[in-house]
Amino acid sequence: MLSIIKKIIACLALTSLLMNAYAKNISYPPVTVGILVPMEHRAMDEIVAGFKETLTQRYPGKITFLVKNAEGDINLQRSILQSFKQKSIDLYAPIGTQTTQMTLALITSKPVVGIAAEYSQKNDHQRKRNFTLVDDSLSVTKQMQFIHSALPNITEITLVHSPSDKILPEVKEAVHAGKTYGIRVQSLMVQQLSDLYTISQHIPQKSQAIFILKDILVASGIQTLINQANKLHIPVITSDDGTVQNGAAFAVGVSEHQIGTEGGKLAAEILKGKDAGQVPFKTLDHLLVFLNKNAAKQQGLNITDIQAAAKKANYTTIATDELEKK
Amino acid sequence: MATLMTALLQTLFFIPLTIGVYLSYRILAVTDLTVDATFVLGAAVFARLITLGFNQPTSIIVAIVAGALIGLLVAIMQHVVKINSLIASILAVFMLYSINFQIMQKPNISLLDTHTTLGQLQIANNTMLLIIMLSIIAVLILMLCIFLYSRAGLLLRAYGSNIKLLRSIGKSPLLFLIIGLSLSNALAAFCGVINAQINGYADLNMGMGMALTAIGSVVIGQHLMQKLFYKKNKFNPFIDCLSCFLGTYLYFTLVNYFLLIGINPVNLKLVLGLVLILFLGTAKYSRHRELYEQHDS
Repeated sequence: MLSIIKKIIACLALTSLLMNAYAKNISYPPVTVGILVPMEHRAMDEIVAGFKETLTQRYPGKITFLVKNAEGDINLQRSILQSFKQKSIDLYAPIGTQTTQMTLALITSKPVVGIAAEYSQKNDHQRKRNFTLVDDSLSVTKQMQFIHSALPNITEITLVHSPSDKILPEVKEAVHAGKTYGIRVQSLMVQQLSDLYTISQHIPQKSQAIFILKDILVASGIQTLINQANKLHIPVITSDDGTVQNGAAFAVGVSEHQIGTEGGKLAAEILKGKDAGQVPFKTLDHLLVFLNKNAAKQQGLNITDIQAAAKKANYTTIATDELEKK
Repeated sequence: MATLMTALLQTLFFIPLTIGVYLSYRILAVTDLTVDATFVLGAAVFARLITLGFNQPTSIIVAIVAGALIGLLVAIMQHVVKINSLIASILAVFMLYSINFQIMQKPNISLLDTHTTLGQLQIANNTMLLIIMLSIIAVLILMLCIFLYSRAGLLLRAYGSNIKLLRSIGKSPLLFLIIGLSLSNALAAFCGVINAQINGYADLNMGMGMALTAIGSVVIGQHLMQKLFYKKNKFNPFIDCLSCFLGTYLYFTLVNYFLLIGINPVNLKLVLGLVLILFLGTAKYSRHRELYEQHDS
């Protein structure tokens, strides 16, 4: 008798499990997500990886990802969006400002999650379109504050930057914030990667550090800046994990993977039924400190000072060996 | 079917640039890559003016005039300063990067919150957009044909095919180079205006690779037209414009088709580049030009 009851309970439990799984599939239908990448870059791969991982974890239904790279060609970018349209994409995830702008100009009937993008209409309460975004612009003031806290003796910094739409306002902010902390920020603009060597030769002797923002163009040539920094015996401070892995002393910023993760969270909310227009824009407020201990020592920095400043600011410190393990 | 329609719309957005390149490359027999930057210039001037509150017609006209002005300067660089046409155009692209930046004051201007006719039509009514674009391009081709059949057009053609004749009848080659390059770059700027409206932004880097795509479209179109449909050697600007259309349409159809069947876009440029080499290597008029150059020297 007892065995029969046990069998009935087991059957009921199994049926309940199957019903539950079935119900989940019904409430969360399979979806197709189109990810539009503007160009080939390691940072883009990291964003895509973070986005896919998070969305897969947070959305219970089946997800098909279509990832296409426009290779920096706007005609190709447009063709990709048109091909997405034909494949009945449920959610568009363009990476970058320009890519998001084109997606919004072309796609009106489906939700769009712009990743690492900025939108001119900052007041998102007035949004009429079916989209939301992850704004990856950092608080440069916070970065300058951290640099001042970790290296209080620094009074002269050279900021090397590109003329990107995201970077220029950040440069202004850095100059302004520098004044608050008694740091004179000298900005040097690089229009193309081939100019970086020449520009790096003009970093003044009195400069006490080289600083770069989350700037894809300059980050691509980080080695040139590190060579020059070694000559001048000054540290290179950056804003992303990749450059620290490549030899910068430390970075205070966000990881590309984290940007993708935030995009994935927004996409999951929308796919679960929220109206994209009602999902607030996500800004990345919590900064991380990426530390390359060897490079920092070589560039004359005291690691404990950086770690102490990170602790004081309540930022998580991630060493490069931990990043490599990831 | 949807792929063909998409390619058709993209062709209509791009054809002014192809026709502009046809004027410099085929009619003037000059390699002018300036269009890469005048395309951006058109978009930049239009976006800047419209966000400053100017109306659309004014913004479009100023953008086209700015493009024409650059054509004039490039012609002077080539003819007066005696800089090789290719080098002059590369120099112009180099300098225009700074000029475009100065015009825009930032590297990207969003037009998503600005009313533009084509941008609105794209959202509201795609068929109407197609009709309007077809009408604009038809008028453009018609005007170009009328011009090329005129006496001024004939002399413009003489610049490319027999510059000695032009000199012998007392005409200034510089004038016709200016007319040709100004027209070519004005068309590129106009194309930039169209693309800014359609894509919802003007960006400092949006012109990358435009000249090569346009040259490819001209070469492929002319080659196919001569092989398949129009075997006569007589100059016919209407057929040439149709060739440009055919070449551009084929290019965009191929791009869209490759994407549809899942070819990685990284490999797309290699495939299209190889196709272009094939066509460029067999292009008849490039040999004609070489022949004239030999005679000239």
